[in-house]
Amino acid sequence: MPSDRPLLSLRVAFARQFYRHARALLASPSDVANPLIFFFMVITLFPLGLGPNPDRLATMAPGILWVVALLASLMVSAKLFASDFEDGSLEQLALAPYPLALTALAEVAAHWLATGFILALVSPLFGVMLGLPWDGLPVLVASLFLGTVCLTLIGALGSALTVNVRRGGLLLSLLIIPLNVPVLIFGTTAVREAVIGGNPESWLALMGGLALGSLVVLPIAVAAALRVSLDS
Amino acid sequence: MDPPGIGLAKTMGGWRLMYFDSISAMWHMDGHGVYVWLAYALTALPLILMVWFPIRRIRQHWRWLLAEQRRLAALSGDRSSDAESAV
Amino acid sequence: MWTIIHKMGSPPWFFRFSGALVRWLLPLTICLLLAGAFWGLLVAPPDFRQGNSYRIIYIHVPAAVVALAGYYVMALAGAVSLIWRIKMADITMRAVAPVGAVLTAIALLTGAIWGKPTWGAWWVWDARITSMLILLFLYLGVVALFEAYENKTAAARACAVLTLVGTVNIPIIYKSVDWWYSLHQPASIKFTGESAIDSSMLYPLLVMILAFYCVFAVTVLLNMRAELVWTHRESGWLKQWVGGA
Repeated sequence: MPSDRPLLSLRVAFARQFYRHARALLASPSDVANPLIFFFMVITLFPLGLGPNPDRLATMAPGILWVVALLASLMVSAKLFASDFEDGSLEQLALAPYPLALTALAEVAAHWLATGFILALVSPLFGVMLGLPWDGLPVLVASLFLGTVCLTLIGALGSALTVNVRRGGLLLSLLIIPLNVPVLIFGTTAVREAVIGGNPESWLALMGGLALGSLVVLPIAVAAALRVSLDS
Repeated sequence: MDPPGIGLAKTMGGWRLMYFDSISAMWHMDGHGVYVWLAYALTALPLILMVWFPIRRIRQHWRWLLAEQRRLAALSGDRSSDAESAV
Repeated sequence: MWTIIHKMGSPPWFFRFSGALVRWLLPLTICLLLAGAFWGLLVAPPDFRQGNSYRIIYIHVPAAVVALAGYYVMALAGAVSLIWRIKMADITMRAVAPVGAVLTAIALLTGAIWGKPTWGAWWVWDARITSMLILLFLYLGVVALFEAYENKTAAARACAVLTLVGTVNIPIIYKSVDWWYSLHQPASIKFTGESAIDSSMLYPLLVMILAFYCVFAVTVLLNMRAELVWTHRESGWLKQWVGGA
């Protein structure tokens, strides 16, 4: 491909794509705040539905927090590639002389930083509201930190597959909820183990392995899915 | 349907073919019959439908193709120009 | 080997071959199903612990086994479709997905019916049943994704990507659900780790597993033929075929 501009190194290409997406997210803070508000409101619903008994809430807290985190990630992942697809920048990205897996990963990383990472940071607040014991809080943060990496990547795959489909929202949840099951199980188990004084480290290690595996495999799948969506 | 005393489990030189002694015992299965027969019926139904639906679809398409071919043959039979344009 | 693969990719050849195959596979399947059901329902002795309700195993386990295998067949077809862009692989995927979903649903339904006399409840969050439920969602996702795309070539490639990711994920899902179950359930309810099954009960089970594999093959082939007849309605070989028939 003859061009008078030299190719950027892959690292620079990654960084530029990352900053571009991050800037777009910063320009619309509501996109960042919405999942947090969603998380907050759904957490409020559980004591209303289950009753205010602190002991019961505390035993259910790991499961509640993780299920709501999963739903929040489901909600935001629908929009991950939508705007880039509509304004045609995704097409530019696919034509660019860089691996699409890498540039897509940059977008996903920016997206994760704005959603999953922040969710993990503020999760102790919600944990305290549900009466989660203190021992569980650091593990909750750590498990969400690792787990949202997987959730965001799987969500990116779902978003890439459905971005060119009418009414893709419901389809997206059908596609990615079954894939999210292991993350949910490992995450809740880690937090519960920490609460009962078991050994959460092994579960966190499993989640770390899952996150690393997803980081290797899923960007390739996301890139393939994006190309399919662009071709169709 | 089930006269008492007529055993289903005929002994053939000391070798029993069937486990159940009578047809009513076969239906009843010591109280589990409802579940077992319900499960088998609910399996048989989708299996039959799963075979029948594609066969019906193939037949329909086949009939459509035959009709299409006959129509084309009729058209080429009288090679009038307005028939050509009607295609 | 390569010539066979090459031939499989050619619709006229496949159409002729599958027609001949189905013609004798369908009667064989019906015979196997009837023989297996007869053997399992009426000949095999009852289980000493579960009584006669265990006879549901002869449809529950084969349906589950073939449903899981079907997902791998779909993944294989998906890989072929992605790598070599063979149209027949797309059609295979599309034909397998609904069959797999129905078989998974059968396994779930019979599992629920079996659960009532065994556990006293229609639905128990047992590890295997939960895994099958997730497998059903995976199948339904593929079916829904196929229907969502207008362009069926793109649909097949999208489904191929999804199926391949799902295939990597299935062992992780099964393992995690297994751990989840063993952490939450008291050991007394567990039915896992049964002792070796007696041969008088095992043989009908093997017959039924074979029969369900045949059902899978027949229904997939029929679905593929139905799809082929429609998508190739304009092509010469099919017109010749119809004219000759």
